[in-house]
Formats: sequence, C-alpha cells, structure tokens
Amino acid sequence: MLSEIEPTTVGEALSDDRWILAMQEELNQFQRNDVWDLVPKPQQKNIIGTKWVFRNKLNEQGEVVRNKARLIAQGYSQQEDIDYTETFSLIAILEAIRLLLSYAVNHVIILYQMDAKSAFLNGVISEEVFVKQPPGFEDLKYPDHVYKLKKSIYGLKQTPRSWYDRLSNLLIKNYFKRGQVDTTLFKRTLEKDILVVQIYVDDIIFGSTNASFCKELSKLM
Amino acid sequence: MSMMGELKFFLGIQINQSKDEVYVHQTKYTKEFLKKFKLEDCKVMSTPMHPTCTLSKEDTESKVDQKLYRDMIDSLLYLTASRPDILFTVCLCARFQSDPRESHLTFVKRIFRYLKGTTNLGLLYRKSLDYKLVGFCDADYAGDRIETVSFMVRI
Repeated sequence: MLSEIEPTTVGEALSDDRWILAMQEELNQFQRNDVWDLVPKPQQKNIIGTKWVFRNKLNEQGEVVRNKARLIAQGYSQQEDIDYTETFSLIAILEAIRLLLSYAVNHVIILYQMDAKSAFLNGVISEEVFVKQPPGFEDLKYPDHVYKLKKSIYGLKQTPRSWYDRLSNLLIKNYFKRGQVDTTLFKRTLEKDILVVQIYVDDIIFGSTNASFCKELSKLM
Repeated sequence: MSMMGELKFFLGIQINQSKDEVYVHQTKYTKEFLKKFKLEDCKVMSTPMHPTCTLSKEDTESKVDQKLYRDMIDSLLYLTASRPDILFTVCLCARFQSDPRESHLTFVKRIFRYLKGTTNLGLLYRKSLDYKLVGFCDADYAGDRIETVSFMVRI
C-alpha cells in the first residue's frame, strides 16, 4: 500500500509507517554506498544541516508507484574554498537528445534508458564536510555526534560534479570517448559497431548497433 | 544501477520507437499544464497566432499577474522541444515578460487554445537514405516592429 499524500514535515512523515519505511530505505542506500561515518562534533567547523524531502513517484498514467524519501544537505550554507572548491553540473541539451534519436533511427539502433539509483551517493568527496544527523533518525547513544562524509550527498554544491567525474572515469576506463562538443555524450566504436551513451544527470540513454554491447554496458554499471 | 528498458518516457517527453521511425511528443505534459492553468475546457483554435495581429509594448492597458504570465511562458518554452510550430509565437510572447499586459495574456492564451486542439502533435523522425544534418539560420534586422533589433531562428 502506498501513501497518496506527500508530507511537508518530518513530523508528519514519522506518523505514517509507509513514509518511515521510505526513509529507512533511503538510509539503507547510504549504508550500501558507504556514505558517512559518525564522529564527535568537531570545533570550529561548518556543520551543514540535513532535511528530508518527500515525493510520490508517478507512472505514465499518473498513479503513485513509489513513496520516495530523500535526505538532502542544506548546501546553501556551504562556503566556497572551505566546504567546496569547484562546482559543475552536467546536463545534455534537449536538441542533442533529439539528434541522438534521429541518428538512432537511421542506424537501426534501439535506445534504452537506465536510471542510476541514488546516483549522487556514488561520487567521492574530496573536501572535508560534516553534516547533522537526519531529523527523526538521531543516534540514541550519540545524539550530539555529526556525520563526516566520504561520498557526496544530495544538496551539496559539489555533488553533481563528483558524480560526473566518477561516471565519466568509469566510461573512459572502458574505452569510451567523450564527445568534444557535447561532453555528456560518450561513444565507443568496435570495428563496424558503435555504442553511444548520453548522460542527463542520473538518467542514462544508450543504444548500440550490436545488442550484446547493451547487455555488457548494463552489467558494467 | 537499475536497468529500465526501452526508452519511452524521458524528462516529460514521450518517445515511441518503432523499426523505421521515432515519434517524439509531449502529449501528457501538454494535458497536464492545460489542467494546471485551468484551460482544459477552452475553445479550440486552429492556429497559434492571429495572422495579422502584432504585439507591442503597452502602457495604457491594465497589468496582469506577472508570475502567472511567466509560469505560462515557462511551460510553453519546454514544450518547444517537440513543437517547433509554436516556437516563434512563444518567443514573441516571452519578450513581454517584464511588463505583461492584458493583450499579451490574451495572446498567450490563444497558444493554449491552439494546443488544446493539437495536443498529440510531435516530431516524427523517419529513416531515410539521405541522412545528414542541416542547420538553418535567419537574421532580419528591420523585420522587428517593436524595438528594431534582429532576431534569429534556431533549429
């Protein structure tokens, strides 16, 4: 059973078992991706607040298919050079996607899409960043401790950049070439076959003239 | 990472892939924003813009809600991804966002009425033997009656 309403506060969400489950799921993702360590609160460090965001995911018919809770950092309190050094966001322009579609149909390529689960939790963070414990899920033993991040989380200034770095490194290591004009397009050619990958933040579109390439790619991810 | 299968629905754009063609449309998106602006029961128009009517800066007409106007333009701009037929008209309206008046809003609403009758239109890419990329560009210095600056058409 799924909830039809999107809570606006943690208190509201904590009174609904379905949303508690959703929040637990999100924290499991944090565990799986080895995102953070609980440490004593450091002196004279900027501790960034965290906040829950609740969204219902709809399918093409507009029915609720998932209650999704996302823990985000309040990145607006980050200070340049201290909490982050470089920011960058990758998005493909829509024209590029249209071009890809027309290219695909002319080369008999079927396009597939992939969605990176909790994509942003995969980016390795290079700066030292501390965040508060998630509201409603504070550690009983150490309620005053804070989390030191190992991976970037949603809401931080440097997150999109570190995700793009991680993903592009993975592709380049696997003999993909990055597009020179559109840096979100990656291409790999092998004899007559071609495999194209277009990235739109955490959505990935790909297709190949050789079906086995697609399988290989989805395994790689 | 989870496998999701064939590309069908991406960023609010619906994509139908078949053997020799791809159809790109935003039917669902259009229906949603017609509902959002409470224009789902409006009368249908066959064209997005009156053939002879032009827009100009207005000082005498009463002001309209700027937030609503911008919201409408925003929704329409995203729709141009699959609807080049409204691109010109939308961009024309977009230039009055700083001070929208009654006549501008009526103009924008006409686009919505046109969309109401043509909701399921989109772009169809067919497989062809003569496949190449062609770019178009058009500059027209004196054609603009409002501020005599040039405008360009982007494809």
